[in-house]
Amino acid sequence: MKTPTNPSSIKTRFAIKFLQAMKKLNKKRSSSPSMADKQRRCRLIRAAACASMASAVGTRRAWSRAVLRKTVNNHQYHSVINNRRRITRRKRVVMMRRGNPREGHSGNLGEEDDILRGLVPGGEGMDFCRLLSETAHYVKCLRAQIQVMTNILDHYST
Amino acid sequence: MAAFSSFQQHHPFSSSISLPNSTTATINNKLLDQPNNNISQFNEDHSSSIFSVTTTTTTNNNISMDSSSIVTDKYQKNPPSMPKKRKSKQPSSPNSAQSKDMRDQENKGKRQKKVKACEEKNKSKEEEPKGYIHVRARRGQATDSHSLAERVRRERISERMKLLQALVPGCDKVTGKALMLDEIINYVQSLQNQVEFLSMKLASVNPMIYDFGMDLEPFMFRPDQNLNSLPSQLPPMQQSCSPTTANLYPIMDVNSANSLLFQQSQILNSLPDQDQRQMLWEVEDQRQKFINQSEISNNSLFSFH
Repeated sequence: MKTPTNPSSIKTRFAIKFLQAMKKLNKKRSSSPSMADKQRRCRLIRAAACASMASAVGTRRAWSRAVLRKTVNNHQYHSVINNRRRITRRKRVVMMRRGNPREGHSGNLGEEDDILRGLVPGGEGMDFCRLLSETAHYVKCLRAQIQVMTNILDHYST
Repeated sequence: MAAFSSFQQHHPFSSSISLPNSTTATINNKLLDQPNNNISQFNEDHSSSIFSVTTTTTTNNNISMDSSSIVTDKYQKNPPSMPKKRKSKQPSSPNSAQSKDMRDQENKGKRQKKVKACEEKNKSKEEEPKGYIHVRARRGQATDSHSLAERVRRERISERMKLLQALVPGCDKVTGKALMLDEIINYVQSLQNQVEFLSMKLASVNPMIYDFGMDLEPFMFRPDQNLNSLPSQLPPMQQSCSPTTANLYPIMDVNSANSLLFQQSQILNSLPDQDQRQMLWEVEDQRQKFINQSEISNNSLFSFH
């Protein structure tokens, strides 16, 4: 190994998980890809990238927890889920209620707040402070993700 | 308080008084109404018997003094509610009072009216004895637990904004919270779009590469291939391959991750185990195929969630 890396760094973990996910996706792939199939694949790869990033981060961040929960919910859509989904929905409602009065506190930034809440996963129920720190971490992770994905693409296209 | 509003309607005095701000006006209404109508209710509200004594004066000149003295009484009544702040803000010079007012003004838009009112009072009564100004400084403390909490919150927000400012390029040129948030939003959106674009590219690129892998699978177990011209050699080679690939795989994955991170396009040269097998796979792209194949065939080793 020429370049020693930290195997527990977020980039490495993300790369490993993303490659595994890609392999799985390629196993399922049909032999004759149509246009709709390609779009589906693109969506799947994107979801895989998001989910593997979140699972590389772990559950200590709110945004990664939100992504993981979403992934699990999507994954179990046709199975036993009913009870679980109801519970998570209730929780979400409670969180939003808790978050709303704080929103008024932050003055005239309401619009930007809401846009940012929509962008950062799981940001609906956060107060402004939390939202900012989550955004910072999310931006860092997105950068790492983009870097790794670019490198994978370079590697495969050459 | 509803009772007070009704009192205001009855009382002729309150309408005749003109004072610069609303807070003193309400206080004056209370003061003026109170001795005439019922003392007991006022005492219920403020739990102070001194009020009834002080509020008996009804001339306009003395009203402001009365209001401040009432405030003293009020705060002497309940000192344990905020002992810390009283300690910290004991200094009673008019300058400190003013500066504190200025600070409060920065804190909250909602409170600005009240603080302005206090400042106006200060200006209008500079000739007043110092004791009253001191008292008014404390009067500003009435909601200070909120403003303190607010200040802490604002500090945290600005701290995180600075953190984000360092992260987002082009954000340090912009001043103002709203513009900064706009920049951050744009940046996050662009990053997400980039991820989408990359995944699209990967979706279009990948099938080609994995097609080789897919083709390799039947090729591996077919005896009549160019590479393995001798069919008798094939079974031992398969046996030697399959366990080693299983063992090799984690190392190889880490290596590939490393090389992807550091943009080494050649995975294979960095693998010593692979070099040993180079004799078996003479052609360059067939090695590539082998890697893809082994990656595909070892999915069961990992669980992705």
